[in-house]
Amino acid sequence: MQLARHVLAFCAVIGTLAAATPLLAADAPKAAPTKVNLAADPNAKDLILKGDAKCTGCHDEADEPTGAGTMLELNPGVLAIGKTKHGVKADKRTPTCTDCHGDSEKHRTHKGSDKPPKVDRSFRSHTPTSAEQRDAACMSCHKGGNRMNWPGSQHANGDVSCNACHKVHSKKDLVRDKYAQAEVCYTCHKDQRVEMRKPSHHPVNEGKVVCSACHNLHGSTGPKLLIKNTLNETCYSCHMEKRGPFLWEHPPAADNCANCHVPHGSNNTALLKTRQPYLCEQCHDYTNHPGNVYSGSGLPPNGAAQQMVLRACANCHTQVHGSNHPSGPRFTR
Amino acid sequence: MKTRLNRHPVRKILAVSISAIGLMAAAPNLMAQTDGPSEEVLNLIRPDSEISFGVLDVSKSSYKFGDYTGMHKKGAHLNGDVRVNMRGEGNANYLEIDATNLGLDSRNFKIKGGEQGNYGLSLEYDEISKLWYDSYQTPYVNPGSTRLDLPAGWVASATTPGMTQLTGNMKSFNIETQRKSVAFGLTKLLGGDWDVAVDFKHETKQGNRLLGAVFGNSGGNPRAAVLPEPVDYVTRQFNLSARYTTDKLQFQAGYSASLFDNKKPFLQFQNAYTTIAGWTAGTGFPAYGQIGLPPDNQAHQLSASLGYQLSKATRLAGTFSYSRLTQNDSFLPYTSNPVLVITNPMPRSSLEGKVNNTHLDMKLTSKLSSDWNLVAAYRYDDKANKTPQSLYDYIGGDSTNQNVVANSDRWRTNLPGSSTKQLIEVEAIYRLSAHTKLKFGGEYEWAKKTFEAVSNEKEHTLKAEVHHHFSDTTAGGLSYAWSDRQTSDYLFAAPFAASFAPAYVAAQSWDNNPFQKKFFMAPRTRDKIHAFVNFEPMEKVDVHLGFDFKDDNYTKSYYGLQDARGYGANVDVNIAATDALTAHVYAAADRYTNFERSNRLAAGCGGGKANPTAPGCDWTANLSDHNYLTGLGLRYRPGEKYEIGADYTYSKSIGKTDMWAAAGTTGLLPLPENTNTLNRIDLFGRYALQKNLSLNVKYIYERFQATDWALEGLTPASMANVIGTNQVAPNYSVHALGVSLSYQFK
Repeated sequence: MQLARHVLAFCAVIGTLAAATPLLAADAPKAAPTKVNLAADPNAKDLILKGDAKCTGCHDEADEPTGAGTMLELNPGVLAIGKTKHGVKADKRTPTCTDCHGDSEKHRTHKGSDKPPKVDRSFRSHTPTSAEQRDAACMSCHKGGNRMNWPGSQHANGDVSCNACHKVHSKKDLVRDKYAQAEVCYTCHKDQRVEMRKPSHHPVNEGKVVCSACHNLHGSTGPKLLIKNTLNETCYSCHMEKRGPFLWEHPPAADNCANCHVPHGSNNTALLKTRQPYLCEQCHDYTNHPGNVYSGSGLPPNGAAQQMVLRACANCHTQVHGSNHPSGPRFTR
Repeated sequence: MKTRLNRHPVRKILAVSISAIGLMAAAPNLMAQTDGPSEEVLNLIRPDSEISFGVLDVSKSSYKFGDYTGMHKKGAHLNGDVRVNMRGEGNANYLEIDATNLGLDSRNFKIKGGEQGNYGLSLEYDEISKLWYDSYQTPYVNPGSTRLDLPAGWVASATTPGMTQLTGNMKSFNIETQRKSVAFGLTKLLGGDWDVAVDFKHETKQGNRLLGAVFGNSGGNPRAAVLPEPVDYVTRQFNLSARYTTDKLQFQAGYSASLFDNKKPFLQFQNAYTTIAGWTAGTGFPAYGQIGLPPDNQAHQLSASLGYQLSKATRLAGTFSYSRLTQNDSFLPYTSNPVLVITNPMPRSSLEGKVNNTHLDMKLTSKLSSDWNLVAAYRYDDKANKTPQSLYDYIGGDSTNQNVVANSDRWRTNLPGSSTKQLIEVEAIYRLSAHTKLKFGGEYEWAKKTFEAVSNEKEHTLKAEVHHHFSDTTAGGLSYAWSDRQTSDYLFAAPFAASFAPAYVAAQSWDNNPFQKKFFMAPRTRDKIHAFVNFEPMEKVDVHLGFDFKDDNYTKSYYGLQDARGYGANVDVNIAATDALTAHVYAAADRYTNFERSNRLAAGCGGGKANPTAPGCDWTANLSDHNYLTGLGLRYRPGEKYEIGADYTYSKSIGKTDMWAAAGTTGLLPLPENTNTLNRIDLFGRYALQKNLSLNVKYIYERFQATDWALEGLTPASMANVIGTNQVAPNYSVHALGVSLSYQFK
């Protein structure tokens, strides 16, 4: 019966959708009375941007897919810029084709059946246009704010130009989609792809956290392109409960979260670098249990060392990020 | 098969769909048409919108499979996605709705609107479920509450085997937390090159996570249980920034606040053990103990950033920020047990914790010539911990009266550590030819710290890198970095002496092996190598090969971490066989190893405080994690009618622990490997039933197998002094099938 209710519920939703279809369809674009052949029309009108007719006169709806897409987006199409913010002519800041690609006179005025010369500023793969020149096109508008530190940043110095990650002529810029962004980053950052598949990881592949939640890929004031000035400050953006200040500080935690944790993925629970108790014993060696050797004799059926199994050291020392309990100097309270 | 329908999301889906339809109906100006380009052209230039609804059926409940994705419950779930992108005709108005997983606990809903180039508004709702454990069990009758009680008829004992009611009272309780956030944003362009941005985010995090709850004092006579810690956090973040942007000058000033509020500041729990030797009478069962949970805290930051084009070739950028972190939650008492005698009251009722962070960075970039680029940077981070120090006479785990003697180890002074870190970095980039680029760089970082064994650190780094295009289709790169960190004298007992009572310090001298250096402030050399090659062996085939190596060597640490080393290698192949058919294959492996050495400091092996390097007490641990990842994907889209795709992912990790101990060490046995093996298949397809209506199918098969020696074979009474949890490592096979209809419109 429950299943039947589920099916009915599903049908109801689909039915509602179907019933709404005419309503939606009523707002659908009306077909133009005749097809416009812009390429053949020397008086072609602008399609999307002010002055774009000099380009869209050829790059029109009959244009073949560019083939320049990545594995993630095969057919961006030149005209797809109309689907994006760069296609909003009413925004006075919006550039036109030649603002980004250059005047490209030789390209535009080429006659004959052979392949025309490249545009002045090309963003395709194997382009002769340098990364710096390509970035300049973007930076002419997109400067300041989060991009203030772009010049001299790791990506800029590594010739990772804006269009290496962003697809301007695409209805969907994958690097701005939280389900797809990581795949764009993995194009170069292969290590992170492996790490994000480890049992303990931040939910990047699941689309709940994006790389850019922690990193400012356009340059930052902190290390590793982090969005904040320091690693801990970045981590505290989501993990404020570990910020303190605490009455009893645990120095490695207050110093740098990465002393014990890795950010992307780990085989150990809670993104720990190394399994407990060995991680803790890298700093703690004393006459009692911190100095003991823990081996297979502490595991069932040979035994069950309380400092080794289950949560290991954290079976007792649970507040390792700091304690604010007056009886918590050993992080047990 | 029992199916479950989550009713709550159904209402949300319907509400969203009705809202979306309503918005379209109510916004005729956004949909208005004019005569002009053909429908074919309009299809290419107008934004697309889509609403999808369907059913997702999951074959088996699994927390690991549903972790973060919300697909953890067996049964059928209504699900839906909405993507609306509407732009005004002849104006810059826009409305965007992006909603995903509306029927799952991972749902997200975002709506943005405004006038491009003038103002923008956004509102986002998001849920993140962290599903920790679905195999946890506890004998406590009210897990999730802030006062945990043992069942009626509980038989306490000094150790777990004597707790005759333990095994029969173990009940399952799922350990999970859920974040729910609402964020609001506003941007507004002002005149004169100014714009402002404001955003506010309110997030709740509720649920439970695990903690160790102990009675007694660590290092002496602890008795513990692993319990659910109630999580009930509220965080608020607010950011305000004003920006001024011209070609030559960019300036930004901002204020940020982040406020953390924990609505459950403590956890009380009943003692499952009888009073044991060393504890004061009245502290065993049925007494309660109390653990402090994270205190409320705040952070406020003022910042200013500047970018200035000094000349066509030279730019200066910098940021200054000042932050104040405060925490002043009322202290919990030394103990919650009224039978325990408190002789010395607490020195203060709250911490009055205060940390001032000052940050400054400057970066100069200059294109010295057509071939040379230079980057020089300076960074300053100062953490001034202004938290007052006081002397506390603490009680070990709600188990004893206060110890008032002068040489007691219970007298402790808090150590609010401060630090100042500075960095100078220079990088030169030289374009040797059109095909070859060289980079050289160096860093000098130095730091000062208080209340640490090391008061000063300095680290030099030298870097070199080459990128070369061998041909139009082949490029490669190689980089190497070497670092050397040196420190001031390692005063191993400095933090000990600063925190413990003088009489105790005089008697004990130190509390950590003097020959061990804590790795995060130990002298260290570091080598890093990165190499890659990209090439196209044939048209439409890209191949990437990569290799990474990193080695941290703690050469001056007699004990402690000796070496941490990582390798990684990967290969990627992307194939665009035709415009319709693409494929990708990747494989990667990495290995991370760390080697540590320690000393048991035990009399039986000839060691102890008088001889902390006794060879007979030495032991080492060599821990290594090996990881392998392989993926294969296919996409086929012959036209608009349909598309299909498939992904296969295989991941395996192996954790090895190799122990060695000096001859004569008894009971040294090898450890088994910890493994995690993932096999996952994703299939998906989309078929156009009509021009604007598509049928979507997706299928997921995931098999995960894990072994974990920290959990295997444990019963609630395996550990004499810690109550077990019956947890097991995740092991599952799950199928998930989703069918949905998508309606596309413009």
